[in-house]
Amino acid sequence: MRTPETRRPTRIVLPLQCDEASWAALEHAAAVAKALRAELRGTFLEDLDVLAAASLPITRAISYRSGRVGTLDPAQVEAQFRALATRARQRLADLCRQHALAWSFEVAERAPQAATESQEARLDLLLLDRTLLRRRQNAAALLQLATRYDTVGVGDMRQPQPSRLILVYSGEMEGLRVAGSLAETMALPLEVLIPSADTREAEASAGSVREWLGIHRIAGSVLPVAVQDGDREKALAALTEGSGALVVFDRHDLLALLGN
Amino acid sequence: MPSTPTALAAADLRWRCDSARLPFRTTAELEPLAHVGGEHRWMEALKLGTAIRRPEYNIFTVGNEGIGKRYLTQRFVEAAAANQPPPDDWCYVYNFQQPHLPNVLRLPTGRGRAFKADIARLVDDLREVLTATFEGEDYRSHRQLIEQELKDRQEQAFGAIEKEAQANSIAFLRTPMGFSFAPMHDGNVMQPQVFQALSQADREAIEHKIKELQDKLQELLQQVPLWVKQTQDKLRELNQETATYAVSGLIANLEQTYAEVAEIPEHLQALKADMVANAEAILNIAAQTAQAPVQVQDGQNPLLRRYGVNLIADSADLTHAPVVWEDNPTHERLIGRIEHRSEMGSLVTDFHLIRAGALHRANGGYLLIDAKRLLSRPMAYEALKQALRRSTIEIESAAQLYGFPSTITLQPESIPLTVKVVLMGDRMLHYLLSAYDPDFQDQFKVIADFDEDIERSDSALGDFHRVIAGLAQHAETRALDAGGVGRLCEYSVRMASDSGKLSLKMETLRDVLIEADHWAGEAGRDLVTAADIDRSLERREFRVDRIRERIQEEIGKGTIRIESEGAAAGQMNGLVVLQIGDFAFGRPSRISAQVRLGSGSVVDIEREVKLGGPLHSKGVMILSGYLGAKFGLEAPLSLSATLVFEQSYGGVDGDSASAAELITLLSAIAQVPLAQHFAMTGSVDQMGRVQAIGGVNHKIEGFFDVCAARGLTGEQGVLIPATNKRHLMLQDRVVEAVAAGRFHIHAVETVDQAIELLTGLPAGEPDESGTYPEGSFHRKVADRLAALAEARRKFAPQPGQPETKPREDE
Repeated sequence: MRTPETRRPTRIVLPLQCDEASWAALEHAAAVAKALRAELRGTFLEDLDVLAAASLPITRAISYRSGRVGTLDPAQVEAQFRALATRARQRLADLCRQHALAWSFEVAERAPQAATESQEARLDLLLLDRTLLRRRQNAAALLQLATRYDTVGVGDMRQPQPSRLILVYSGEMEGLRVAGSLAETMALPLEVLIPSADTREAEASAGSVREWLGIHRIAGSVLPVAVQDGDREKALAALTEGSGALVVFDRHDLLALLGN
Repeated sequence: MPSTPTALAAADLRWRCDSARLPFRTTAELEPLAHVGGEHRWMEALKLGTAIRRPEYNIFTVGNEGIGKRYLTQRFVEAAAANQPPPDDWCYVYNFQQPHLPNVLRLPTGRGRAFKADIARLVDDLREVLTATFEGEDYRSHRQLIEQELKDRQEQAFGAIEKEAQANSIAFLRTPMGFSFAPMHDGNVMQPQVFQALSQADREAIEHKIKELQDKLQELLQQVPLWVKQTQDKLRELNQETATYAVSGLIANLEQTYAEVAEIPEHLQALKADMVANAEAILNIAAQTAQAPVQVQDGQNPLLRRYGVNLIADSADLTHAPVVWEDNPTHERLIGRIEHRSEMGSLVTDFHLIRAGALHRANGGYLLIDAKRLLSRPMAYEALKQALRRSTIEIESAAQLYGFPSTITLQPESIPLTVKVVLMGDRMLHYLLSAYDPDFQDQFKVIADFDEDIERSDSALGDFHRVIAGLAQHAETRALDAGGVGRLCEYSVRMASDSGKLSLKMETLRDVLIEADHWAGEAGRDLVTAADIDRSLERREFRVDRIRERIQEEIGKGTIRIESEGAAAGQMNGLVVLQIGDFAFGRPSRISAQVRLGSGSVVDIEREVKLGGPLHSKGVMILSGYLGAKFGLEAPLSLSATLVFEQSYGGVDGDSASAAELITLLSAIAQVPLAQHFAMTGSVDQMGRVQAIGGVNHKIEGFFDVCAARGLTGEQGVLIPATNKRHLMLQDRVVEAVAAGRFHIHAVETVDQAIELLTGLPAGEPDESGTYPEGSFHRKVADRLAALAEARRKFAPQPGQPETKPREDE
């Protein structure tokens, strides 16, 4: 089998919060990392909105468990974020020890250098849980995080591991290369979706992608999708709703879809 | 004149079995027999005891050791049990309501084992079926639906609040510990300086709106636990429904199989309910042990372990009622016990650790126990009586019985008891229990008394030959030829100490036979012959003969003084029997008497120094009575006499030497010498009649061996009571010497007959005036007593003088 003329992701990056969805996503990411023999990196997201809200005199904290209203103190919120980060780190460490995976951990807002370094030194795949992405508050933070990575995977992280690989292709060859490499390594069929307002242009792109897949002997299919301007969010939701599917985007494609 | 006794003929000295006339050549031709036929007390007692199935009709078999009591009883009881059906099976199972009180289940014979296997299989299947059911698409869909319902409800509720917040430019934020609302500005949370720049009215409006949203959120959050609980209830209901479906399918077969067994359906219902209630826990066990399956019975998992079955009484292999011999009847081995195992330094137990006792194994049948062993084990007899009294087996530790604090333990449900207990003991034990234990006679109403011997009739002998054949077969020895059988019969007669009886000491006969078989093997014979039996007996005697040999040796050297020739006044040879363990032998003992002036008392030196037993003292007092009646009618006896067993340093008891002591005393009074080549045994009454004694054979042989060692003169012999003639079963060496005229056995009826043999003088009969004829032995006695009376008269006090008593030593 020929290896696609690209680098395989050497680091799987997973945004983490301290909730059940994050722990499920962690298991999923570990399965992907294991398949790719890549390092697993946990990125703990501190919510800047919460920190900002804590600085306002009128905001209050409402306890999830009791509904009790208390003060929202910035120092207290920071301390709580630190505690959650420690917990997330421990969870990541335990899981990676169990699966014999290399791992690293960062707090997103506190380690901007790591991201910069990773862009230069290696190819990272950022995994995003589509359920997190649906929430506006999370979506903003995740989008911000996505700007640091060339390749972004969006999937249903509640599944143990992906069963399908979908590439959203808007002409960025790097995205195609990474997706091809992932499909080959993880033994998953690759479905290439080509969103475009222009059907003719889309058909042309589809032809070249098919040719590329053929050259590299990667099993898969190509499907042009018509997307109207202003309908991008709907398109994104449609794309990310396949059960067990990991949808891979080139950063630019994702940002384009999200309207950034 | 007393009739002079004649010496007994050799033929009178022992019974011989004429093996040439026996109707078989070897015991291989005989059909073995367990016991000599005929009516026996013990047989009737055992028949009665085994036939009456009432709880208090237990049996106590009485008899000396070594008569085959246990063997015969066991054979009899086994024969009775063979006609009775095997008992039911008993299981202990978990009590789901009160775990410390395990339930007992009764199953028809042999079905306990199948039930245990069925339950074990059920537990194995349970894990698989539950796992399959709970992992099935149907269950997962239902569960997901319920969980999704909660999520949707929450998302909808929170989404509505979020939407309302957004509509008012307020961000709905999730903080690490809950929620918060914050005003927005340009799509982001408003910065403090922007907020401060707002007008007072705007700030208050925002604050008011946030407060409103907070109130709504609070109200919502109060609903969440209720929703969660509703969801959990639904999930629990789903789980229960799913588990019930899975477990019911498994148990349905068992319910059908055991529908007619009284307590099983109820237990299966309880089992099912518990399995359903614990379905999730069982699933967890299954998940944890997917790689290493749980062994249900090995105590690894308490939850699954409690579904198992402890089959405590299993009759699957029995074809009739059980017969159990409990060799070590301790409290625990009788009624069972509850074992504990160590877990994290603590002792814990469960119903699987209940162990059966002999009563469980014998329930529905017979339990045989040695009474002495039972009584020597602490609490065992009491526990047995309690079980019999209550007709139940209740397992309690000794600590519980004593009321001592113990580790956490169980109180298993009692098991109904229908057992026939057969205790075996000797007579003394039976008498003691009868006298001191009121419960004994209430609970052991049947006494089976085993005779130690039987009459030697032709019929009994015929049976006895077959019993010997049975012994050979049972002991796996060579068969005996007719000569060997004859010798064993003769030995049995000798053991009975009565030529008219056969001893039933089967254990001794068996030992003799086994050793004879060894000697037959040494000699390269295929059959055990008379020579082998003789050798066996000879070597058995040799091995325990050291003391007898040393005594004979000392007599030979003169260290122990025994005269076997000549004549002497006031001295003669008595005979005693020494018993060392099972071995008895006779030896002569010199009796001497001294006479002096006195007041008519006879002093028994043995009694004075406390070496004489009460029976011996009684004998001496009887001879005093004889003396007074015969010679003290006209005048008081004016003598004082002492009697002693010379060179006797151990205790003496029994009155078998009283006749010899009387003659020795008379000889001392009359100063008439007694022939020392005779020894004498026999007790005497106050009229001078010689009475039977025990151990006559050993006594004769004891004196014979002394004489034989010195050389038989043809005069030597032993005087025995005529009533002991039927007890003679002397060894061949004595019989042969008598046949050759070199030794003599005289059977005497009276003291006078013995006096004539020992002195050569006529004893003498008094005439009408009470005077004995001149020259007779008794005349000499009377004359000497008259002389002593005359001498004493000299010491009588004169009128006006105080009485002077002669000095008495006694």
